[in-house]
Amino acid sequence: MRVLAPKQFRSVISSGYHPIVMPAKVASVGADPDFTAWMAQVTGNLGTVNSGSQTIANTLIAGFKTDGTRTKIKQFWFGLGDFPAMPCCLWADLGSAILTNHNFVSGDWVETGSSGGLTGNAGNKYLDSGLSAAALTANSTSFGIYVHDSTTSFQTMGAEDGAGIPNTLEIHAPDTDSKMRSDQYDAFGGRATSPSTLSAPFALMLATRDSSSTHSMYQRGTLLTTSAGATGITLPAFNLFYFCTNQNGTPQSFSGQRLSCGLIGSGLSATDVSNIYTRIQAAQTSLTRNV
Amino acid sequence: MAITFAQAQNALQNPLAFSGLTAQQQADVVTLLKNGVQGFSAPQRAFFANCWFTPTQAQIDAMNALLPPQTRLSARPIGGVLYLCSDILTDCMTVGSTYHAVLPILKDVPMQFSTVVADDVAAKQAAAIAARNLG
Repeated sequence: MRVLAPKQFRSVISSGYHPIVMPAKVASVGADPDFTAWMAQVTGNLGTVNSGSQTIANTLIAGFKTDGTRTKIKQFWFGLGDFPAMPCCLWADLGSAILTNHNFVSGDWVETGSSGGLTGNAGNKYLDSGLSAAALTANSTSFGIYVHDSTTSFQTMGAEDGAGIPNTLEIHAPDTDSKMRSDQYDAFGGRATSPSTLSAPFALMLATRDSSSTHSMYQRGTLLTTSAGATGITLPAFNLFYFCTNQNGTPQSFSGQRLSCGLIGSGLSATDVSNIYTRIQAAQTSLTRNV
Repeated sequence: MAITFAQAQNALQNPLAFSGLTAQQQADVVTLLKNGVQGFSAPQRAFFANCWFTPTQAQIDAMNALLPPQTRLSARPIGGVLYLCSDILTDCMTVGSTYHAVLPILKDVPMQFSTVVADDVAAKQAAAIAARNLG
């Protein structure tokens, strides 16, 4: 009996041939439950992840658990595998287990190597986390992306509502002046801005608010700045987007950047951020797409 | 006869529907679009990055009804016209590819070279930067 992998199945499904579809081979010894759940999403989305990348995923999940950061990150997207596997989150306590792909094509995605990542078009391509910022806890939030390239033209991601001074959870990573900015939760009074320009490529850029008066911003696990920020602002009730910002329900400010990872969670300490960067950077290095 | 980049460039100065091309030309356009993502010179990539479908909202809705919920087509509205990136075609032609289900509709949607989106991106960024600087 011939057994086909899901991708092979897709290619012959219209031919009249009737194969038996087997799930992708999944590492079973020592596999973390989050890993197993992720692989189920991958298989369900007709994706394929090779054994090397599966090991990287399992190691990454285990590392977060060892560090105590797993429960603080509510949705963790780390692109692995082929294009159908790419939008599957390693875990999602909140939001979608599979990021909703708007207009990306397989040619936009490279899993490994120096050109690794998913490349936006600055026009209409984005990923929807399915996670409303309002589902997070005020004064305990974090939002981060891993940036592979050096594109600097107003890369804004996240969500904001209303007009005037909106309620916002966004990251500008980086801005046109090569500085990084974060808005948690109002765009102007609570903004954190890096004190100097940043060097490209940017790698992990992460902002977090871990109290009503502490809003911190990090690049490569290193603190850039801390802002007291404004308080009494609510979280926007809109899904956070990657590759653009969700402006009152409409995607705006599209990015042409190349990303491979995004995380949304609760407030993080400096030690948490350092640990998260170390784990992510190790995984990126294993995929030879680290910057 | 296969079409060249120059011929495709010339043809796309005016709206055309994919269904109006011969099978060979359709295959060539898809190849050109794929190469537009990877492998072409910078001016050629820029050209194809500026090729857009202009569907109606009804066509967008009809295509999304054919896609799984985790895959969406969403066009950029500018001046009452919707713009959808043309490289969608590269994942349309093979059974099982991401957007294959929408090909029966997409093939009749006009496609054209236009810098309208690029111009809009630049204008929106300038406005956003201005707003940021006011804060």
